[in-house]
Amino acid sequence: MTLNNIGDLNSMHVDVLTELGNIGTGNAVTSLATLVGKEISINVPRVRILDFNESVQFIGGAENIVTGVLIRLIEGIEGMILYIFEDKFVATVLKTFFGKEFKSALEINEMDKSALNEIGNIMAGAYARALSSMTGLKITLSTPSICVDMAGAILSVPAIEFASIGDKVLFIEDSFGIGNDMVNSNMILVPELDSLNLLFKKLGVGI
Amino acid sequence: MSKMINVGISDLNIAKAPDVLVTYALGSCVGICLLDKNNDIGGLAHIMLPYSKEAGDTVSTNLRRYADTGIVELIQMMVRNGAVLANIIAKIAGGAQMFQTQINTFNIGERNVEAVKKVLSANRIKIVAEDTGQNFGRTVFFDVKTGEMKVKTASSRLIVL
Amino acid sequence: MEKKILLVDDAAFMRMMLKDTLNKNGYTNIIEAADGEIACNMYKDEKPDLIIMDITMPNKSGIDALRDIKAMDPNSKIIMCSAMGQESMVVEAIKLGALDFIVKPFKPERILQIVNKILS
Repeated sequence: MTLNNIGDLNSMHVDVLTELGNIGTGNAVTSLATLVGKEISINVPRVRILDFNESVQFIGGAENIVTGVLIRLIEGIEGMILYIFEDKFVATVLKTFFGKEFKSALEINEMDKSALNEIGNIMAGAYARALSSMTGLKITLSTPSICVDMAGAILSVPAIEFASIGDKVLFIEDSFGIGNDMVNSNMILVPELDSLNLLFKKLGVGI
Repeated sequence: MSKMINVGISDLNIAKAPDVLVTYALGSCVGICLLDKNNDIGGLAHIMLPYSKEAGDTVSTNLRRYADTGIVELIQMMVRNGAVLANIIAKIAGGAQMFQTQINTFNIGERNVEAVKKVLSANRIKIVAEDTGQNFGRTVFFDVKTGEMKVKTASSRLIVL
Repeated sequence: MEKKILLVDDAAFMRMMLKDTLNKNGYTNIIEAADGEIACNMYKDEKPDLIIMDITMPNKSGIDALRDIKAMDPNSKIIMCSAMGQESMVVEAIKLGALDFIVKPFKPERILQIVNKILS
């Protein structure tokens, strides 16, 4: 039996995805720590299955300005990874790399965007490495792309792309401490249904 | 006393003057405002995808998410509530491409706008104002009394069409 | 004569960081390319002593550029530097002639170690 809809995921599937979330995030945050040159402590990531409206509310509401970095998974496991970086995260990054004071996500320049894109790229790469080593699949990423805009508009991208597999998305909430600051970064993972089925098969998880 | 009626993603609603219909953060989605000024009735649909037929087996039970079925349902709802088809005009907004081309395999925003225009044309509804495309999100306020469509963006650009 | 290094990465930020690290350690003849296509074109004219190449790039990937540059000049020295570091990818790059594969993010000491070794 295969999954036909994200809504078909049961609690066992969610456990498996949570564990993947843990490992993936662990790798990603380690990478991030190396990049920023600071100690980063991680809280256990929380994996949720949310529908569109819930996800939008979760990141501050439809009109809340957020920074999104989008990466496609284009081989092995196919789908999208969308990072939603809150202002505090962006501010910490800009301070660390450029010594800049953050005013508003809407005012960041091209180099700032390149840094954030690269962070998304590195974190997604770490996540893909975790998936790859666990499944034996080769996973290729696309170049990252950034957008600073209303949360509802940004989330509509994965929502539309994967409308056919259901109205729900996998929401991985990461909360970590960089230096003395606690920041949140959220990762939305939208796998193609075939890939999700393949993933569970490779992990030896029955449906 | 006018009230604000919120229309969520893949949804639609009608309103009578002086109420205002609002839909937030249109990305690649398109917001379609329909107005019958003579009868003081308007409608707003927030569609996500172009054609229900394209979805095949995976078509959603929520037909309001597609331009073809959603717009038709909105028209019917308006007509049932006193609108006259011949009076109806349209104002549309949205259909942006939020992230760069390398990421999207096809430009869904553009396809949504095309589909909306086709469906409106097939129903002989004229589009009198449009703020579509580009690469930013839009919030739309549609005032049924004045017929104005206000489009607000993250950078606080506000235009009135 | 000073060694010339070509940095190939679509992220301006990553090129900046690498250039900074290299400059601080005596390598000041640095040229840049934002994708594999540009890198291949630049190679002919510039003949860099070493290329540090990302994999995921628009227009032409680092793997394809590696293949093409190696075909142009089998003696070209190329190290891959990517956020994707899965075993099969590393193996493929080495098979195609890359001298090393660094997974991002890396500590500056690490990349310097490799650059020094190759250019000495």
